[in-house]
Amino acid sequence: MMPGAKTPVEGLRPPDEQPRDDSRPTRKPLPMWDRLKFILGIVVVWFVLVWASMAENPLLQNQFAEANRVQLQRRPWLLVLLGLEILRQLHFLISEHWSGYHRFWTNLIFGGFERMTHRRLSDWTRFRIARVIKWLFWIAMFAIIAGALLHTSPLLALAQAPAIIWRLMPMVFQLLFAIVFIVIQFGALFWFLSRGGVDVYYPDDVKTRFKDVWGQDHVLERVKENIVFLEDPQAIESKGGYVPGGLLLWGPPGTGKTLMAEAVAGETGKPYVFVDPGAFINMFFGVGVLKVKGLFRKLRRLALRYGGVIVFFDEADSLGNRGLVTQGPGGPAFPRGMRPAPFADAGCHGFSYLSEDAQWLVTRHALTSTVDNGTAGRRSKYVMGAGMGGSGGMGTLQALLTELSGLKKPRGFVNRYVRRVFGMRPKPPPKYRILVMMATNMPEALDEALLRPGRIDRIYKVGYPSKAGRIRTYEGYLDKVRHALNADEIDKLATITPYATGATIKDMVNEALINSIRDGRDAIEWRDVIKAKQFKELGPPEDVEYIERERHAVAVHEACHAVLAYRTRHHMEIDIATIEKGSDYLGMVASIPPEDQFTRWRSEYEADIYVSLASLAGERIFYDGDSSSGVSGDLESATTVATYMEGFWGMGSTVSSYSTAKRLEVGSPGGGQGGKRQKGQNTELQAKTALADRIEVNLGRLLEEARQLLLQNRREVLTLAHALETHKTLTGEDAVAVLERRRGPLVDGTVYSDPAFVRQIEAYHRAAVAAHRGHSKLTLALPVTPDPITVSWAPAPPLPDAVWRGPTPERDGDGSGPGDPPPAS
Amino acid sequence: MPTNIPIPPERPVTSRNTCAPYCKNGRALLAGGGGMAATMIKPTRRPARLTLLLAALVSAVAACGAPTYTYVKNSNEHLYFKVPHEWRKVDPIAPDVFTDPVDPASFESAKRDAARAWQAAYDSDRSGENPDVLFGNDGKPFVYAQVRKLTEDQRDEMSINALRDLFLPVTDSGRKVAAQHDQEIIDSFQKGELSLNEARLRWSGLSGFELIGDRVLDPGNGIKGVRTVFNYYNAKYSDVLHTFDQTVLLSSDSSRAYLFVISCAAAYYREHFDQLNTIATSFTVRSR
Repeated sequence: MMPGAKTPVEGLRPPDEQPRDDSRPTRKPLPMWDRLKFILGIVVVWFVLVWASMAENPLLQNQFAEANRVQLQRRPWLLVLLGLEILRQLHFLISEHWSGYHRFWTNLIFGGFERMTHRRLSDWTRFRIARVIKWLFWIAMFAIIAGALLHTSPLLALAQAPAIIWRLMPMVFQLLFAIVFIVIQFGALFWFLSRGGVDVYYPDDVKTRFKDVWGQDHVLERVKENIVFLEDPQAIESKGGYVPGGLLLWGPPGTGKTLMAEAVAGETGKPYVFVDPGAFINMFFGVGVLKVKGLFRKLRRLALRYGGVIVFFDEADSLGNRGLVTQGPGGPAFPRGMRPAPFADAGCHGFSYLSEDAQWLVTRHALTSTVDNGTAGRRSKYVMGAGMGGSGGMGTLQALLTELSGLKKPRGFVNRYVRRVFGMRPKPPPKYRILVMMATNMPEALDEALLRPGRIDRIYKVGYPSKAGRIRTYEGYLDKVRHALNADEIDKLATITPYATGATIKDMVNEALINSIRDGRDAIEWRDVIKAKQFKELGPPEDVEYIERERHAVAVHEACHAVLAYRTRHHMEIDIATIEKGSDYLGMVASIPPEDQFTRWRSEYEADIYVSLASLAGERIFYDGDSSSGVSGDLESATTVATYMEGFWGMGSTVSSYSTAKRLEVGSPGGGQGGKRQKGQNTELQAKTALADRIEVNLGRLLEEARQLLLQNRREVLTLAHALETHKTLTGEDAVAVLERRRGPLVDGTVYSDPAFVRQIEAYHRAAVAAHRGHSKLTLALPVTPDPITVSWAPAPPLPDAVWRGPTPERDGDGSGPGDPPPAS
Repeated sequence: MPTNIPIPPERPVTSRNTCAPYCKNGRALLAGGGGMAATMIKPTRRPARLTLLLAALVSAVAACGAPTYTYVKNSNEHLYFKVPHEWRKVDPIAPDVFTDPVDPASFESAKRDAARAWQAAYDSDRSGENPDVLFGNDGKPFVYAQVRKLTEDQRDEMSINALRDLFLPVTDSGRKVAAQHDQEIIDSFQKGELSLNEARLRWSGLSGFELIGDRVLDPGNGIKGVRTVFNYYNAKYSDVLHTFDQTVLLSSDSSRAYLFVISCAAAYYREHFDQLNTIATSFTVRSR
């Protein structure tokens, strides 16, 4: 070792030490075992051989030295090996202690050779030489071993190699056969498993046409556009564009997505491949992937043969996604261009009288609050194990993603190999014009990567049909049956069924037909349609007879909702009011938007809250401060909307968004704080508390306003309650007719303009309250309508829309609306 | 047959080291544990010491060089013997050529070839000048070993006497038959039925038989045999009296006969009896 040379230290250096120079002047000392292992091995082999020869030959028994000499005679190469190993170890030993020697070998001999080869030979040449040397080495090894086995010289053995190989062929073939046999078994199994689930339709196989799709004209136009480009790709390709390759139709169930796809199949001149939603549910790993590959092989073939192909994945959500992590922050988000499908439900204690957006918000709130309740604090953002999509999976989706826009590689054996043999380049892949159509009603279940442009270029919402679309659909289905409805009635029908889809309209028309047949008529009339609508929306009544005082209580409850809806909620109109008990409600007042409206306003949300709180306010008024638990659902809805107004939409006293405040932990106005948290301080709780206080203040104010409105409308509430008790169910028009004391289509409201009759009703109400207090029987019977109830099935004169709207809301004269900010708390 | 045969009793073969001084060194190193305790205390020195030790061991073995004997074996037939290391292996000529010559092209010759499962020959004369080694003029020792497959008929006839006569006629009856055969050849020649060459080829030319020793062997495991030492002249090949030390063994199932012959000049045999006896007694057959 050189004098003064620092011994290099092995292993990790201590944390606070400078980086050290790891270049050693000498060789790193070998562990003892590495020094000895080969020597020991050779010695052991030697003695084993000696022992074997002694054991075998009786003349050598007890002749150890002689056996050693015989061994030496026979296998001198072992000794040579031993000598070489000792030489090598000596070389290492010297290298470990003499830096000059080490440098000479490392830098001069080996390093020099390395430098020389790098200087003289290109990488490619060196690789080839190394390859040749490796080949020669293994051939030499083979020759030596074969020579030893055949008792000839290695060179002769090499000459015999073909014969040896030929002799081994049967065994090789046997092995190959065994392997191929096993592989074929698996291959065949997977091949059979990967069949099915894919149907090909050729033009004219399908009879559905675009004209059979009603009420979705805007989407249809777009879809037609895609078909046009597929039929005539030159139109866009000659101008430097490309045929849009992917199309997603999403929307609520029954809105005609599949029908539209079917129409595409009927209209197009290209083959149409229908992929079954269950096709990718597979038993084994890899079958789904094989299926996708097989599907796209077929698609490419069809695309080449016919110049294009359409593939339709129905219920594309079955493809699944890759879990929440890929879906961006905050769990399943709605990918571009999408909003969730509205929550369709009905019921007084549900929220069917809320507008579409409010319904969704309540839904989402309900979902998230369930999660929040489960786990405390901020660690509840993700639900473990949720969102795996459940189906597809195991690489199926990834395979699909790759096939949709993966590497565009040359394909085919001849193209890739035979052409290369002749020195030709493989032809680039041709343009496969594949139009991918997908349909789903759960767009949030789709993987975001699937929806990116290039895979799915266009995303169309197939929403609830517009009113014009509904009219067209009603006309379409009614034209197939005999009916006595005129254009105005069909228009009104379309108005009062705002969320009707093709499927529900078809169903309703059929139900109406059943009603008319049951009544012994052969044409559908207006009352059949209304009956069918109520049956479809409310389900069959449970035929539960309330005791009188409870019936009255339910009627008053619903009448309060209806009256405030009539007075304040001008963006919606009452669709139905009923006190017939259904499966999950006692009674209900449902509202519908008369026209398609896409923005929501503070006044509308406040009206929603008035309607929700009307039940509590009304029960307190009409039952002298008493109230039932039936208002729980109403309060829930009211609180939710109020919370969003206050915390999210800037419709309260503050502007800042609660969701942002919560995410960024800055607290919120009136509670919590910015900056560093104090020990034990729960800013989120403080923010919530502050928010809750403001919400409570707002709700209290709105409740009081609702109470005032109801006090002003006592007569309306009681008369409507009477009408409900008499008729059980009122259509929106009839309810309004009662409130306005005029004739409705089915109920005559003029009777309620008689003061004497109203007094009877008031007396009946007082008796009901007394019975309620004493839990006793009612002393008075329900006042009978003086003029026998006019149930006029004759078509009532159609009323202009404006007539059965509520009057302009009476606002306080001071100009401050009900939504004025409360005093800061 | 004489009963008193002066063949020394068999004794275990002990190889003599011809390079005793080196091997003594080697043994000393093998057994030498004097430095072991010290090496255990200083582990850093151990690899060097151990390497040295191993190197010394192997070099000692190597220094001894060639072994004393060449150990010949046929593992399939479980046959073993040894000859001095200096002797050279030669391509054997079947001894039938001398005893009962036949035309090499004849069917009989082919049958004999087929019957010989294995044979080997070693010649003490390294010059290789005397190919007809069994009756070599120089009288130097020559060893021939053979495994012969026996036919069903031969098996039935196998007796100790038949074993004695397997190679050269040794028993009285055997010698009588041979003499009669020779006489018939001579008669045929004199009658002119055989040419001189034919007569020479078929005449055995044996004469001057002397039995020196005979011992019936019983190595165990069902193997039996006999060792016979005798002298013969063969006028066809040599004028030197030759001694044949012949060991013939028969496998337990009588399917194989194992022949081992040392031939040399009678004077040489007397002089080098110890060495030749060692070779003869090394002939071992294990039961199959």
